[in-house]
Amino acid sequence: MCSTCGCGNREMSHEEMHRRGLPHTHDTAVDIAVEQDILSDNNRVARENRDRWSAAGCIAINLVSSPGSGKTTLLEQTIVYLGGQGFRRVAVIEGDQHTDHDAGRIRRLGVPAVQINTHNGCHLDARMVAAAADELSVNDSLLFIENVGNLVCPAMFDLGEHLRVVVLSVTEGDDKPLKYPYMFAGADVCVVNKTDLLPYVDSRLDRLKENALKINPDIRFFETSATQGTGLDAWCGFLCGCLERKEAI
Amino acid sequence: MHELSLACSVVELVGCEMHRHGAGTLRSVEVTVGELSGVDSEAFAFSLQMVLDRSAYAGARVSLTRVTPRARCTLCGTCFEPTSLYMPCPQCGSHATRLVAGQEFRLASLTVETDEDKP
Repeated sequence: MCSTCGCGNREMSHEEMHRRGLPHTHDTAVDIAVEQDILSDNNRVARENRDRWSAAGCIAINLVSSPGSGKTTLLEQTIVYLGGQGFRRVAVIEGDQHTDHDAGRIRRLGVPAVQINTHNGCHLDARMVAAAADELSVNDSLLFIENVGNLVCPAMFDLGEHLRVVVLSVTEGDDKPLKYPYMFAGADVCVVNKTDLLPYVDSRLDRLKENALKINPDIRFFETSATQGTGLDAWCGFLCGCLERKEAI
Repeated sequence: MHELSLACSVVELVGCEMHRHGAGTLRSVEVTVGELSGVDSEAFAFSLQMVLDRSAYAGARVSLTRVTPRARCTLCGTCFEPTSLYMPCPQCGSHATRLVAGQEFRLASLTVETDEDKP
């Protein structure tokens, strides 16, 4: 074998093959070091979103949970409660695989809402949200982004939110944080919803919180029953406080 | 199943790098995946191979390097290898720990066969 390039020709030197224009192979593989975060493009757009919203005096809240935790009902009741306090600067981006049902529910309350349909996608990303936010006026507002109901994939994608809020209903079981730890590791706040059903299920609030704190010792809790309207005063007070201070926590 | 969309992101990054370096034929794509990154490495490798095979880089192989997680207890300073995001410090039992490795998810490098010296 040719010692220069391994071309298989024992008789002729590599240079000679070149000189004669004979076909042969090269072992000229090179390594190109990249060392780039695979989510860097999403993270860059997320930073742009966050900067734009911060400059507009807006606090963006990414609501994540499994399907059926009561995110949309919590959002509706939050809007109604804030409206009752005279606060109406709210805008909403809804994410679902299909249908615009949720955006319709929000619009019926007189609040502007844009629906994103991800079709086969399992999460929202920063670019989708940037395009949706262009259709909304967010100055000095609370911008709620209701993510696709999924406790796995949305955990990896920064949307540019100031606050990530995981909604967990008591009917899901108090070990849910341990089963889906990535979502709880990345959240700032956990809203425990459907607390009116506690007497009927095995979940215990203290165990649920203990499990979430094992993953994220800094996570902050609120307890609500969106359908019964309980716990909304503390939750909404917290949101308004964030907006007044122009900072998340 | 976000691994497929992550695989598509990798192939986009690969395209940018190949264009930037004016490189030749892509032989392999090396990716670093931390075991607590939230990425299922087998599903990701499968997805990335599938997307590569249907791209301009068909024939390139996927090479994954897995990173073992390491954490440090913020109370007693013990360093250990956690097996989950909620493993307490083995020394003092605290959950106030910080991951220092194991969350990586990077396109590390490309191996490219250059077209230089072609007769």
